[in-house]
Amino acid sequence: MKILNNQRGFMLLNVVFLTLITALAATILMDAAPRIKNPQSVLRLTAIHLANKQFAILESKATAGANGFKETSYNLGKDNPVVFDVKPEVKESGDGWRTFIVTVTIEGDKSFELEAERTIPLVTH
Amino acid sequence: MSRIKRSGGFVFAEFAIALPLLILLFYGLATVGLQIFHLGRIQLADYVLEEEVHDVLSRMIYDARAAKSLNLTEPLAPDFTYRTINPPKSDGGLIADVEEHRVYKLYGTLKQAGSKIEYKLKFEGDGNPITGDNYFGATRVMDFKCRPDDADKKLLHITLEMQSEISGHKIKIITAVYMPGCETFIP
Repeated sequence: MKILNNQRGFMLLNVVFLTLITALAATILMDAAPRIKNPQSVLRLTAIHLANKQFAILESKATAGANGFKETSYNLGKDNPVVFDVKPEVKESGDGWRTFIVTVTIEGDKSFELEAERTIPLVTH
Repeated sequence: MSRIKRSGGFVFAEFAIALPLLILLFYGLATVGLQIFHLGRIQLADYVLEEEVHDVLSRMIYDARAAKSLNLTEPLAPDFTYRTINPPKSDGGLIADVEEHRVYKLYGTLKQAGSKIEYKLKFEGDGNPITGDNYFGATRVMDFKCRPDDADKKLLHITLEMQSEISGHKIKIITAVYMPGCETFIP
């Protein structure tokens, strides 16, 4: 033990290092674990089907909602409403085909934007 | 004698410092590990929920676009009728033009002596449910509505709300589908 007598500082240092290594390992594990606060996929799913709704409205002769609409979704919880803004754009190509471009954005969130495109032949109702 | 006493005291002191630290470290690691398992379980259940919602809706959109007629006499069981052309058989070379039905039916199963009703979607005449049959995330259908548009009967509004039984999260999707080939509509 005489040898260890002047090594006390190093042993304490060892404890410090061990703690740091463990903390680092825990951080890495936590980061690798799937995060619960990742609503991106839910928002995307909602937006895709709102775009589908807009496509269906554009294709039909229904006029309500033909110039875009807004829809409030509570898919992120009751106290967290998300307002989707759906805007269509129609391009006529003249050869009997029509291209619909639908852009879905979230009000107050600049990072989210979904653009969907569909080309459909003109149907006479 | 005094030398043994000294070294013994040192070992005890070392132990007294190391033990609480070790306990703290292991407690922290165990908490992190449990949290990771918990998050993984919930995340997996949410993925299953999203996947099932998307699966039901994409099947319905597919059937609705191909539909020749739609029967909505039972509001919770839209009945699409469509024609399918089977590939020609090698023996006769016949093209079979047959009429097919597809009914999306919501059915409930009592879980425990009338305590809880669990709603699942399935095709009528087919024993396998479309939703709620995934081992990693039990789901139930909370709301399922099909409603034709007032202005255009060929436009079908669909509302589907599902909940995961593991995470408790709900997803409500509002969408619509246009049925270009739908000639008859039975409300």
